[in-house]
Amino acid sequence: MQINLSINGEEKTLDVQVHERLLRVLRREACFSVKFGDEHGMTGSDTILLNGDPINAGMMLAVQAQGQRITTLEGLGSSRDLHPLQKAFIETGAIQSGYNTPAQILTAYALLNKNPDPTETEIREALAGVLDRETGYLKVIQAVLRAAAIMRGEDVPPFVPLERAIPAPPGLFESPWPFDTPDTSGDGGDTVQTKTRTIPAIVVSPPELREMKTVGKSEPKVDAVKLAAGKPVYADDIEMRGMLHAAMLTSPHAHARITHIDASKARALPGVHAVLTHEDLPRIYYASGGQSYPNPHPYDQVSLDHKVRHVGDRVAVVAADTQEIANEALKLIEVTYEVLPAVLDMEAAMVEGAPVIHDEPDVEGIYDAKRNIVHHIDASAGDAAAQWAKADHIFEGEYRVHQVQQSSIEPHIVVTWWDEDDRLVIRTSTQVPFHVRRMVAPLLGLPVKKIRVIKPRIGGGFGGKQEMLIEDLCAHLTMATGHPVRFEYTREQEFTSARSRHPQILRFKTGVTKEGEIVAAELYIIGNTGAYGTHGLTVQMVSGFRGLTTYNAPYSHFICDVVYTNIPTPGAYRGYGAPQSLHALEVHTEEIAYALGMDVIEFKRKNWIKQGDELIMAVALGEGREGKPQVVSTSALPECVDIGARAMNWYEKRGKERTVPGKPHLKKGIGIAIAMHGTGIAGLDMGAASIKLNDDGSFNLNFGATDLGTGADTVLAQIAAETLGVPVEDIIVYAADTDMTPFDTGAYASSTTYISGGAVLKAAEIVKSQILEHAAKYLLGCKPDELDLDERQIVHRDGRKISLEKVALHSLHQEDQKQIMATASHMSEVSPPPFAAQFAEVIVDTETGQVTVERLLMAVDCGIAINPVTASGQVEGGMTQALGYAHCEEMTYDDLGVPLATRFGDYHIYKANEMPELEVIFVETYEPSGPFGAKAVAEIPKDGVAPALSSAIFDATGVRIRDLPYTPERVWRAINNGF
Amino acid sequence: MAQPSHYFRPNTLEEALQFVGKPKHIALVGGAFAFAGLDIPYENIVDLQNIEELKGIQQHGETVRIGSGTSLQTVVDSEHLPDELKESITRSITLNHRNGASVLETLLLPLSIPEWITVLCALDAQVEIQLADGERQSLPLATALGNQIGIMTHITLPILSNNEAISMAHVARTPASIPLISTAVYVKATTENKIGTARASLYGASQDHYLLLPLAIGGYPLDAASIEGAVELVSTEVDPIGDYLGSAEYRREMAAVCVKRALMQCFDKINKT
Repeated sequence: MQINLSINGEEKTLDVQVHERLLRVLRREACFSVKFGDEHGMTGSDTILLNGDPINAGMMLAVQAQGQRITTLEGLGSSRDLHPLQKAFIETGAIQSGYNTPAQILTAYALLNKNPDPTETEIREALAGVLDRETGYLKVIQAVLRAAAIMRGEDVPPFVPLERAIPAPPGLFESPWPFDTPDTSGDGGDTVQTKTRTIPAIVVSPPELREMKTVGKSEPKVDAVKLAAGKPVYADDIEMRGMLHAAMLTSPHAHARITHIDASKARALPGVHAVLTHEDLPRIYYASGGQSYPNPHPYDQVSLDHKVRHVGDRVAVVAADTQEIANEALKLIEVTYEVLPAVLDMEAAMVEGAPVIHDEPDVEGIYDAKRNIVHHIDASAGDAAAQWAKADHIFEGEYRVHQVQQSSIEPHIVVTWWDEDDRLVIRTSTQVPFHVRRMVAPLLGLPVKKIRVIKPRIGGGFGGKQEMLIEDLCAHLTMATGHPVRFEYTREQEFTSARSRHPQILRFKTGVTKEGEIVAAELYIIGNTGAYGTHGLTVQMVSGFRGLTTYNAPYSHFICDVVYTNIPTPGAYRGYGAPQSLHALEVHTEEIAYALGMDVIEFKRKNWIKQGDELIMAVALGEGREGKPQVVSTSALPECVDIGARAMNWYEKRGKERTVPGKPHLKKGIGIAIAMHGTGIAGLDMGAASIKLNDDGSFNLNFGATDLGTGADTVLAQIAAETLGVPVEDIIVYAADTDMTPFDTGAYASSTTYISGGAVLKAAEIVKSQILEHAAKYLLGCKPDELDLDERQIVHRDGRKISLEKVALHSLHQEDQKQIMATASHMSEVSPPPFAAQFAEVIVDTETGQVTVERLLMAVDCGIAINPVTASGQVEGGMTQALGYAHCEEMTYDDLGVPLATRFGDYHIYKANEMPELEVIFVETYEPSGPFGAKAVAEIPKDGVAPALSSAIFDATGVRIRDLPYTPERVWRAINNGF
Repeated sequence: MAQPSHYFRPNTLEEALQFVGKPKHIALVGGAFAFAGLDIPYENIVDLQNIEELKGIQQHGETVRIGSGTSLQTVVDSEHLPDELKESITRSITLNHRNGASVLETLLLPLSIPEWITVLCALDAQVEIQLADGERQSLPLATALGNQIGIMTHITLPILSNNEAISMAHVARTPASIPLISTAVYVKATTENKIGTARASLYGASQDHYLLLPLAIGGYPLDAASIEGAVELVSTEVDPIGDYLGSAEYRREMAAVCVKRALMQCFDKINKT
């Protein structure tokens, strides 16, 4: 039927079908800023303004919009004429992946139209309908406050984020905390304050750090304008003639054999182009984790199997003219299952006689298939007998952590097609484009050279996209049909058929002297890898490594069983095993401190790993292979703890009984945890970059590293710009495309700034030397070492200057013509650890067990923060995800293994209107092995929140809770039953 | 599941009544909850958005009428309604959904917004239903939930006087997450400042999700002893089902805690006036 409506001020007559949601119709009309996040409007990605009010376009039929006025972000401003809100989002660093930025800006726009001077609370309330998995909402609020002031016509000063203070003022650590947030209200400038600190405090920089032009500055993200403008930059923002839509049939059973499958009726449905089942695809084993060659075992998956091992496991895929036809075809596939006994509990799975999940005879690399043990790890370092003999006390504890989902707002999405050279193109939302190309090739029977993988902008990944998850199925459909095919997971499939964090049982045994020195430690972990072993080995190894090296007992012993069960498969999730073990470790060490009557911080301080220490388990526990020796070259952990404690008034609060006035059942507590993480995988991760000089003195910077929204593209551009003496705007970034950019292992293990940044630095230094040589020889008649690059010029020490443009034109067109360019690779034999101190304040309702988190503060040593605003965004967003892990997010199942929370709401992610105060402090060190002194920052914020909350709950109530998450019932039972 | 293939947008209630009640028809005003909750297993959509008499909030004497076509955000913005009713919407329902959903949908899909339904039940809200034969029915809200016979046109609520109070309490994982227990308590005091009428409405504490309990504490003073008596009653009457948010045992305990808190707040409000 036809409808008439106004879209962004333009009257339109559109042909729509009754069942079509407005979301799809708007995207068909090129309003790509309106996005799919879920089927229930919980993400808010589909926000539009209907007659000026925000609503979910995916929650109404297009026909309902007949006669109405619709505004999308495209109607607010363009990249050449940005609205003040769009500008403010860019300036304040409010954009990470940008997937939900259009929805946030539109919602804010509607609010400001009705209320030009909103309070922070009002802004948070309005934005609560747009989930943000990335920022922690902090800079978003700041952006709206700033834009509001500008739109009111106030005299708003330029936004100047706080830059580093060099060096630390004398006596800093002895003086009162100097960075109390002033209680000011908005003038819209950089002093605009929310209840939370929006700009990180950088309190220490090492004296050897020289003043730099772009590194250390809060440069706007290089992709910020297009993201703020809502341009079509994501995998799904592409239209192709003849494109088919894919849908996947999944298992309703946790464990079953497919005894019969008949797709004939589905194939006969008009509009269906292909239906693929296990009978149609070759049986080629693989491991789906996006990891370096050779992928760690087991190779226990095939693209489609005759056995299903969890609810949500893959059964068949369909490609059809429309999504509705594809969905309808799924219902016509007749499947007969022989339902098998399922095992969901990881301890039960190891018992003799438990259902065997991988009973296929030809699978590779399972340790003990009959007991569902996929890996058994036993690694130690030090002298066991001697060290245990020194122990005056032995403490043991068991801790349990649960399964949570990455929940990137953009689901897994891939589009595949044959190009004009009959090469298969895979446009996919992935963290690992090069791994995807290598891994998918044998499954498709194509050589690597026949495949091109393109990573467009990604709407969040968090490890969930460090996987070759659905690219194989989509490609098979293109190969079967010859058509372009689009395949996107539903939100339910994200919960049932994607990846998640490994649940674990962790048992610590720790030997301590009467003076409080940890002399021996054992950690036994049972890791639940669900139905398949992807990442099962390496995540557990990282758990063991972090759990045993943070306090680095002279004798350390790690034992681990990685176990199959019939739950959806865990995989990589930001933190990669560290959040599990650091939760257990930090609760365990606090228990020990109390048992010994020692101050918690002093006990930890006495035992934590120090600068210059060798990480005892580094060689024994690599990541899937033998590791490299590691020494802590830099650590500001003591300063992080001291500064954080001072900022939190720790010593005035900890151990003091405090309640909310007039409400004795509301008890307050403060807690702490420390964290040590890694920076890339030593001896394994590798990145490469190419830099090319253009006629005008600008540079193309191409690399294979994948920016998930973290700001990695910007940070890498800053490194290049700093080295080449140009502003960031002169660096044109392109990434990542297996045809066009050099190799990179991908975005994981907190490696991009350190590893890929190292490659950029090397390439830039080579290009710099080429420029100086050419200028010295042909234009300035001097030696290259008499020259330097600065402000787009080649500068001689005697004061002479020529422009980069002149050198570029000369080298390209006039004399000794050549392309000034270089490609460089970088890997590292070390993985310098970042450190952090995490603090938390809570209120515990002792009658209900409900925990309200009031404040989270993290003091972080990430080396030099190349871009303090993007780095602080990582910490704020990471803490928020970690808060969900500790407090409310939980994947649960019924007795048959059917997931109970497969939509947002049931699976609760923190919204803008319920956030605690967030605060970030950077305590910088200069890491000599990192580009411009950088270490990592992306994952460490995930490590400390859960144990800090446990610590705070203990401070409030006197009960110790070892298991996650801190649900009202768990806390209530602990209070009533005691520890 | 069938995809809707026909769409009607009547301009009057009479026109609309020709469609509703027929098989495979559903009447909607907004959409948010219906689309989330029903996935539209209906072939025929009857969109009531043009029917003006279903919209708006009017005060009539000592009652307020809320048209079923009113958006939830309009309810939140209304000056006629008690803050508790607004809070029952805003705590866990976001602005987008409040704009996109109508009151009618919350009655058709009562699990979509439990705190709102809980408060309405405690207030003894009445639902007016226009039947296809021209008859009108008025039913207590608790019995009208999910009704698809005729068109639910209005909710009628009492305006609370100084000797009446309504209060809520809930337990949830986070400040804005869905509640595992939600309670609303209504109290009317006598002129002697004794309890006249008291009732508790609970979500998450019974097999049927919602439970409306008269609290047999009439004639007692507004004090702690009366509260204890009411709590004891609640503890025996609730019959919750456990789920992933909370066990049956925990829900039973929390029902008592929440009723106690809501009663205390009601007494405080009445005593202050």
